[in-house]
Amino acid sequence: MTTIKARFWITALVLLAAGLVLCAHLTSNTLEFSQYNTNWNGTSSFFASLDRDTTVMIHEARELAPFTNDATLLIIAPSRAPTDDEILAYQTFLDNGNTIIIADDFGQGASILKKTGSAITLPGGQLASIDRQYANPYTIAVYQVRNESPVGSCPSLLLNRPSRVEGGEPLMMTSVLSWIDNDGNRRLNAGETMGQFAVIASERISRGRIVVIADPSLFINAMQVTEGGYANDCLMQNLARPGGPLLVDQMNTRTTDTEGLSRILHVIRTQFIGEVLFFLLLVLVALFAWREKKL
Amino acid sequence: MTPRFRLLLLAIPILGVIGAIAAISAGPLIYSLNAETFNSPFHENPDALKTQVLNSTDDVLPLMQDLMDYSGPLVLNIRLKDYEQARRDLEIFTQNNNKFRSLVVRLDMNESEIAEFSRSTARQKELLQDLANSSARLDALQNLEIQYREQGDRNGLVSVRLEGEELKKKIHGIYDEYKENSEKITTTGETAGLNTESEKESLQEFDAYVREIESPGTEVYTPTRTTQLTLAIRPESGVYGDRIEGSGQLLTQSGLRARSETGKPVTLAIDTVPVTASATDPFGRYTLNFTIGRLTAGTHSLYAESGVTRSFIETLIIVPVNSTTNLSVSQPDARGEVLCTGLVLAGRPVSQAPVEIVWDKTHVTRTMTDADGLFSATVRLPNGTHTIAARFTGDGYPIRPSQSEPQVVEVIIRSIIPQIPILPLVVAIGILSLFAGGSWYYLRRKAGRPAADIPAPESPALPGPDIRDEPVPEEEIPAGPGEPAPMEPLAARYARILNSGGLGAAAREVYLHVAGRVARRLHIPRHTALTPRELSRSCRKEPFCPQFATFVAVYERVRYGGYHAAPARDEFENEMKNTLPHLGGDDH
Repeated sequence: MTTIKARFWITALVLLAAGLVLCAHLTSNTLEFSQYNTNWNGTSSFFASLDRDTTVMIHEARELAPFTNDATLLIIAPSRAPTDDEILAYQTFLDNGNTIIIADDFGQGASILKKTGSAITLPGGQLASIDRQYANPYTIAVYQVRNESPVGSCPSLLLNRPSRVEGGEPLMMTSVLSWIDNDGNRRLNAGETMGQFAVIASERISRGRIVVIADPSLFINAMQVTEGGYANDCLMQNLARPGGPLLVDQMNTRTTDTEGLSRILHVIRTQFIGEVLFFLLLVLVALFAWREKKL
Repeated sequence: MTPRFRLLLLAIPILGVIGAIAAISAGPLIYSLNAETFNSPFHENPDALKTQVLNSTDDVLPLMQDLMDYSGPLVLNIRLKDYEQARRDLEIFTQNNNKFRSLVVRLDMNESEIAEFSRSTARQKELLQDLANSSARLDALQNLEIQYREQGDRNGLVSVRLEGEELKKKIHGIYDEYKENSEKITTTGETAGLNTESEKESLQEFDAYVREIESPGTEVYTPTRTTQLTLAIRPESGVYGDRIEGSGQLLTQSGLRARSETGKPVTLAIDTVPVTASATDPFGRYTLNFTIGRLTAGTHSLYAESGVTRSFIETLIIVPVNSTTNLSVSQPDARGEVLCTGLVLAGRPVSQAPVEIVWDKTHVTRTMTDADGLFSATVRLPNGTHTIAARFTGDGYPIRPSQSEPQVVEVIIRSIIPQIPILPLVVAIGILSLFAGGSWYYLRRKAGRPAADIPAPESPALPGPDIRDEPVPEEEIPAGPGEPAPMEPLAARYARILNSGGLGAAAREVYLHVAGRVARRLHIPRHTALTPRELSRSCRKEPFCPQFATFVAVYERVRYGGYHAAPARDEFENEMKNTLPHLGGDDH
């Protein structure tokens, strides 16, 4: 390779690497639960682990209609109250014999549960425990009490600032050394009683099933692999591959939060017109480059 | 792409790297937990939590179980008068209790059921200690009662009986309080899913023991001695640091007379624990001294022992005293480390005692006092304002606990530069600067040359040979006897150099001229960076290109192939003549 060719390729590689790094930097963000957030508090790892052949991103309520019997809809950290259309779609989805899994602690999950007619509630209250992995009472260990999907074969989990669930059939519970930290001081004070609390529960509704996980933080990158032998990865695998189609709610979730260039890329990726415009832009760039080469 | 634009593209990443280095050079902490562990209302950052001390049920529950498991056997051993085993159990019970109390502090559970459990077990430990001492004293009184009865000493008999009754009442009181504590412990233990059987057994044993000692006609073991060992202690009560003297005589029954034993070892024991030893003198006498150190306040039983011979039990009362703990804290250094020094006094220095340095009420560092009661410990603090206090808990000592005045320390860790080796950083920046400077010089030098590389056809001046851009080394082109005139025609130059430097040099002169004109026609900047063959390949779709390719082939044979004979020269001159007209312009 001659000197000029080597120089050209080295320059091109440096520019390409710099461009990739810049792109990766600009397309990521630090928003809580965002699937574009590669930091500890994002959910990029979970979304990257989803099987593209069996996973469908649900952007509109009507997209739920075709699924019958064995589909699972995953709603992670809902950010707003559900619309009437969404509630109707959820109810129909359950009537069709499917499963809805809601992962939420203090957000709008309670509203979805109430409107879909579920007996499970998210009464709130910060759970704390001595039974924990780190020197922080909000990172608590919970244990399986019922070997059912999606917690089957996952004996224990480590949660991160969870709430609790009431009603339904408990699937995972805390140990007895747990309490509701009403005053938020992370200590067990007089008036705060220790006891066992359910954190994951399920319920049959119509022909379908609802599972409530009182901690959406299970999905963040930092909780995918935990110390102490907790089976968080087992739960994530069960959720990512439920057996039937996995539908991930993109209508009402913090996981779609974007900002800056990441928002633009998100629009390009998720909207057909965006894809067309981007393709046209690429063609224009290619044409320009071709014109340069001719000269 | 123009050279200026290319330079700009390269300059952007280089300036970016230099800018990034400049941005972090003041505080080269690229990853900072403080910066990364921003408060999130949704979750904690496990990466940040990994750096903190782990305490969980992994620690709490086994300790709770241990504490409950020891209480049953302990009471049983006291009931069976196996004070040695009871003492060992009590020692372990005390250690576990101390561990548990520390754990409760670290877990921030001072107001919880667990803390209540800790307080109950701590009180239980004191009660069991009292029970062991009282039980030993009761045994001693029973022995005395037998002795007085044998001697017919009615006054002594009444005295020991009265004291015995008082002790029985005391033991009953201990039982009542123990029962209350034990019920609390059992309730908390059951809540935590622990096995409370041992705790319940301890209460049953205690109950049985109390009924035993309170029932009239309790049979006691009557020792039969052929050898007698006496013991007297002075003073009979004291405080921490007081010196206690025990003395007596070892006598052996020899017929109707007592014979003194010489050179026999004698050991003094407090609560069945040997504390000092000596030997009898020629008169069978002995003196043993000890200083009140780590002994709890209250009543202790003392006896002397020589072989299988044991003296009657004497009682030592240790009175608790107040203590003071002083603390001084040094200014924090660059790493946030402070030196905590202080003194623990209880009328006199408290030596070899544990001291806890507590900062921000939650973090505990432990150290020990030296022989003079002085202690020191280094504590590393994070940025911010902290309060530090030293406390002496008094556990196991006849000294009441004390705590120093809290000291406020402001820690500002300005930079971690001292922790980072400066030299590698400087070397790295130097290498980067060198690289950037070299790149800049190289590009600038190359960027500055194109104007000279492409001679204008109307310009009479030809570029000089640039041997640096040639792919093969070559000799200097001789300028001939005189420098070429500015307007010297190409043919004349060729002839002149042919005569002075040979065909190779002359052919190069012609090639450079032709190449310059081709490059100008094709808008090729810095054509001297290209080999003749590359320049020939770059020449396409122009009428003169085929002829130029032929010219280059002949030139390469002459210049690099070593063909300098007449046919080669003729061929070259022929191609030169054929090529120049295709290029148009002046042949200067």
